[in-house]
Amino acid sequence: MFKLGKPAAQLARLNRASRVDQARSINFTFDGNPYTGYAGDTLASALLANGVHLVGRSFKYHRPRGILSAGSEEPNALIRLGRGAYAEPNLRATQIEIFENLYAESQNRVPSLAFDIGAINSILARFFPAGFYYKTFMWPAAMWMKYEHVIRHAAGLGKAADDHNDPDRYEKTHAHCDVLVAGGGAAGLMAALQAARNGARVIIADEQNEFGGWLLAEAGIEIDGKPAIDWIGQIVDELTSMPEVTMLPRTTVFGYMDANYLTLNERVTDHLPDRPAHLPRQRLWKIRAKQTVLAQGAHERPLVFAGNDLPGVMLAGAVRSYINRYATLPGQRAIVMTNNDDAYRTAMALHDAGARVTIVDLRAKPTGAFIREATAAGIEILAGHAVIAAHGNRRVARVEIAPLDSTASVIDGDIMHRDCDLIAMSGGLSPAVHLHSQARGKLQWDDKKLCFKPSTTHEASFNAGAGNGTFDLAAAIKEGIRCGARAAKAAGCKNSMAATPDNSLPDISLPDINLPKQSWAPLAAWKIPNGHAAGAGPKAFVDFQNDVTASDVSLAAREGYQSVEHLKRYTTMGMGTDQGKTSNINALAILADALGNEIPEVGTTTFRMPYTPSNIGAIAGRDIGALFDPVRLTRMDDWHRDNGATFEHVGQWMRAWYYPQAGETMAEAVNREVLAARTTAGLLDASTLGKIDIRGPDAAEFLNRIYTNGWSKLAIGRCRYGLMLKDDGMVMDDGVTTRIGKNHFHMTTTTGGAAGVLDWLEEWLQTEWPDLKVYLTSVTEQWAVATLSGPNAHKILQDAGIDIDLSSANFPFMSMQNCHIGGLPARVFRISFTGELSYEINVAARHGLALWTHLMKAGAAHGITPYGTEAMHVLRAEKGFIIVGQETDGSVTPHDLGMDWIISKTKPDFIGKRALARSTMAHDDRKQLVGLKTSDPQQVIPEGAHAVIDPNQPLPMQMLGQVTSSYYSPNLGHSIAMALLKGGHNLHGQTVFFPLLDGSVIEAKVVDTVFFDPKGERING
Amino acid sequence: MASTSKKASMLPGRSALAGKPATRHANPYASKPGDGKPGDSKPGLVFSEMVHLGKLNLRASKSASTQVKSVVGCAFPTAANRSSSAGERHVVWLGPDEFLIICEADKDAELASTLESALKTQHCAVTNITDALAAFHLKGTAVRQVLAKGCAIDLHPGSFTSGDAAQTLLSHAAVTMLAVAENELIVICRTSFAPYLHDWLLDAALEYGVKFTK
Repeated sequence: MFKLGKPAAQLARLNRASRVDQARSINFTFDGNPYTGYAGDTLASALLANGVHLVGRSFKYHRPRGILSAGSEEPNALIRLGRGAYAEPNLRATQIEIFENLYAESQNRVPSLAFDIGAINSILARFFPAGFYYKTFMWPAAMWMKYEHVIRHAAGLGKAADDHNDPDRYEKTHAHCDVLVAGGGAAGLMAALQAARNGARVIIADEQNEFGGWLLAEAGIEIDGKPAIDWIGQIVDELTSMPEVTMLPRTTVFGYMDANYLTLNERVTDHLPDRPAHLPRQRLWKIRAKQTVLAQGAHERPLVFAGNDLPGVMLAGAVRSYINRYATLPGQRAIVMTNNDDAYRTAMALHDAGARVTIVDLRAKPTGAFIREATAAGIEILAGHAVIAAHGNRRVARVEIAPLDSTASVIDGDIMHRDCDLIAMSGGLSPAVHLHSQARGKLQWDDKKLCFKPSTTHEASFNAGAGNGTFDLAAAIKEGIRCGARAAKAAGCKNSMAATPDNSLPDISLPDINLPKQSWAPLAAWKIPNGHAAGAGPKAFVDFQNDVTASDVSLAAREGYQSVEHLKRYTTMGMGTDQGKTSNINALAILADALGNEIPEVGTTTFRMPYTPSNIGAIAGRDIGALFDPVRLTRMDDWHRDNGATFEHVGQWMRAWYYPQAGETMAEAVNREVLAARTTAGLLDASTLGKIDIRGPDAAEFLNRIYTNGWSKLAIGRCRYGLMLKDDGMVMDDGVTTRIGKNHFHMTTTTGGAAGVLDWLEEWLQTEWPDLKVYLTSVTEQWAVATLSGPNAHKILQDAGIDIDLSSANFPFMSMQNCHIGGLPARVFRISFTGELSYEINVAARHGLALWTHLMKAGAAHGITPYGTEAMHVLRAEKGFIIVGQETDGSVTPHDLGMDWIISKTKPDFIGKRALARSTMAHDDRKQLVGLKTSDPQQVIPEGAHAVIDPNQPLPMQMLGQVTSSYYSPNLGHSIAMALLKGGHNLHGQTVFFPLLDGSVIEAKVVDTVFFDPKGERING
Repeated sequence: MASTSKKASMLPGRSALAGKPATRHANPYASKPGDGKPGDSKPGLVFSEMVHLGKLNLRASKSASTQVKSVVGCAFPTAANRSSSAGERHVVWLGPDEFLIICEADKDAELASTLESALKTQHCAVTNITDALAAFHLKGTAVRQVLAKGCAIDLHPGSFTSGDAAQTLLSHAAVTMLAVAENELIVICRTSFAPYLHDWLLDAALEYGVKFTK
């Protein structure tokens, strides 16, 4: 723990009205040093107020980096927030609201920011050109794994939390609205207000802590005679008072998917020193909007000149924001470098705050109100000049300024020097077209405003304000109103004022704004000359976060990376947490120049979600731990748990696997259960079996078509086993179906297949055989099922008080009876999956536990033993009964299983019949089901083991097929297995081998699949 | 369900949540009185299981509506995803020829056999699925916000109004939801999903305050 001294004074803090509350001090720690800021500060503004510009080291060269921006586009000021399990890396200092005892650390520096050994990379920079990884480390390929480790350590961003269990609570929610407004600046607020006044359900989201967008950063603008901030407050108040408006500050619309489905990340409690436990830290919103209004604003572009990445080099708009919004003066001696009018407002703000300012304007002859104002204020203006290099150690200290020729690309005159501690640069504005583009909206190049702006869209969407290239405030407000009204109308809102026949708008009273006319046409000056040959000279950065320079872009172009997508991947330009928000257009322009193309021909890279990095925790929400996936329990579950069962997952069901007694291993428990089911009696919870009630005059015909065997002649009260095929002739499901009445059947399916089978049957009924009068209803959970199996089954049922005659004459194998057991109404099926005398007892689910405990009590004197799914598997394997999904995998036919007996030869058709007739289905070398008996009776072949004829053949061996089921059979005293082997039916009596991973080989003989009681004599007890 | 004896209701029967601890999924805030939104002493969600609520699945063509009305008390709803009601009984539209009939607890078997007799001459299927499904009754000022956390359909009171029904997903469970009133809904799921939904509701309603009543 660092020893904290007295906090530094906020020397750069201005004494003026702003959005920070200078009456409320907040203590925080950055890199172990204590600081104070004020309520309303971001970490970036509070650091700047304390004179801290150096906040990080760059990704590749470990160059000192400062705060570039005041928003979500920040590429440099990435910090790690919090400690221990709460630590989160790569957060933008420009978006973190400070709170009491906030703890932050800089990243990517060893051991400290001021002295970083990684900065040697910067000296070795000529060995780290664009495409460095590809060029250097891909050879020899075998070494890449070693190189990678070293490189990933040296070149990386922040470190994830030390504790991987995120202790915070996250939630997600769905929402619907008529109009979703992304961005709460002037245009977005007006759109929301207009839409809401027209009766729309509106959601408006803004990534900042308060609404107002760039107006929060302006001073002196008056709208309708009031300060802009009061005008904003009035709109926010009206929106807040409207019940159908949802205001979401601190919420980023980060994804725009098909059909107006948008995802938002709301930072609910991130800004609070103590996060209330009942609230999520963050909330993911999944919104289906009838219409959207995208009003995301614009990002200012840096200028590309040598040394433009030094701390103290900032975007001009950001500097204005720090002065006006945060009452913080980022420098005393400022150079404002610009290719447009807007930076003059920053120059005036700096001047008014007491800084000494020189304006370096790339334009040869700038004119207009802003220039006159600056001149009148006595600010030095160097028109037709550029900063060709900035110098400094850990902060900019002086600049070289030179006059340029008329193309602004060649130095044309003597270089002069100025000392400075701040450069405010402005290369023009780029609309934030991200959401529009994510939704496959097209872009068009505006060659006056030098920016891409939205054109056509595939979505129900409108663009307004600076995000649409409408930078002028009055025009943006008007556009916001228009878009809000149109969106409400398009969403079908009843009292839409915009519902005029010609789609024109009713009179909208636009506010008066006291802004002089401003030129929004910057000078195209993408790369500032530095007097050196291409590729030489000091570095001029295009992409700060990925350390991509102008010469890297040019080099990539020379090396043939002419597509912008290739350029991105080769240089890493536009990657990382900022996704090139400040760098993309500059890089495109420099690439276009190198290729001799126009910018629109070069195009942009693809915009993808998320707009800014979004927390995975919020995407997971509460789908974690016990809520990750439902666990389905049977009605007898309590008994299983109380009696020490272990469980296995079968789909979402938890089924009792086996019931170990004190000291028993799994094998011992299963052997005991398997033996009991054949010597006394076993009881299985079979409730999870799928059950479908089938009714209608065509029910039997329906079954004829669904199953491979015949159903017309099945007598009422009798059961039949059926095999269901897909239309490709492959086994899909199996089960016993019983005729309850003339037009009424009860079908059972596998546990895992239940839902799929019902869908399959419905699909055939609804799409292929609508003429069949058949209704299906799932009754899986209506019944709880206990299967009683074994020679003592009769005695137990009699003792349990069954009220029917159990003799085979009255209740034969494969039949069903309704009766009562211990007073419980029951439907009993005499069917068997064990080969023993067996009854599947169905009762209304609410009586499931009562039935089970009653049978256990009645069976106590007769050796009743509960058995789980593992014993069930062994018992059925002893009889050679298949399990669909274990012996089959979607490529197995009934013939492969040796079940030709179940294929009706007389039925005109059934699903799969035609496929079964294909010649390849009869090939002798198909994988066919066989039984296996190991030479060593105690050896159990691993399931999945592959069989070969000759274990000594050279690799790769010719494999015959694989083991599908394998167990030790305590009833037989040897292991048993089933396998699907090529031409298996003809291999009977042959020996096959199973070479295992450990080098051992198991020998087994191919035998019949029925291991136990092959004549079926035990079925009657 | 021919086998259902009239004695069924006299036998020991278990609800969907019987034997399950009230909060298997630990929710330390749910039980604290007034723990919800600051200053809000009433929980935003109060819910309970509608134990053994009678539920019949009816598959029949529209022509059965008259007989259904005479037996159940209300006819088929006239539009998709709607329900009709008569007292405690509801007929819920599930599909063009499928309806869920909800009736008083322990009246299901009787209603099923009466209905079956009344529809004897038609192609139909009356299936008692009372035990296959569990029902929750949800009430409170935050009920729709809570459900929105797990449900993708529009639950705005203007979009999902009284008498509306939806077959949808609530988190990971398939449910049928009925809007009873602005702050009151019935949620029906397969019985085996009831413990999961119970836990999920307790968790999702945390920020509004929540109470589960027996």
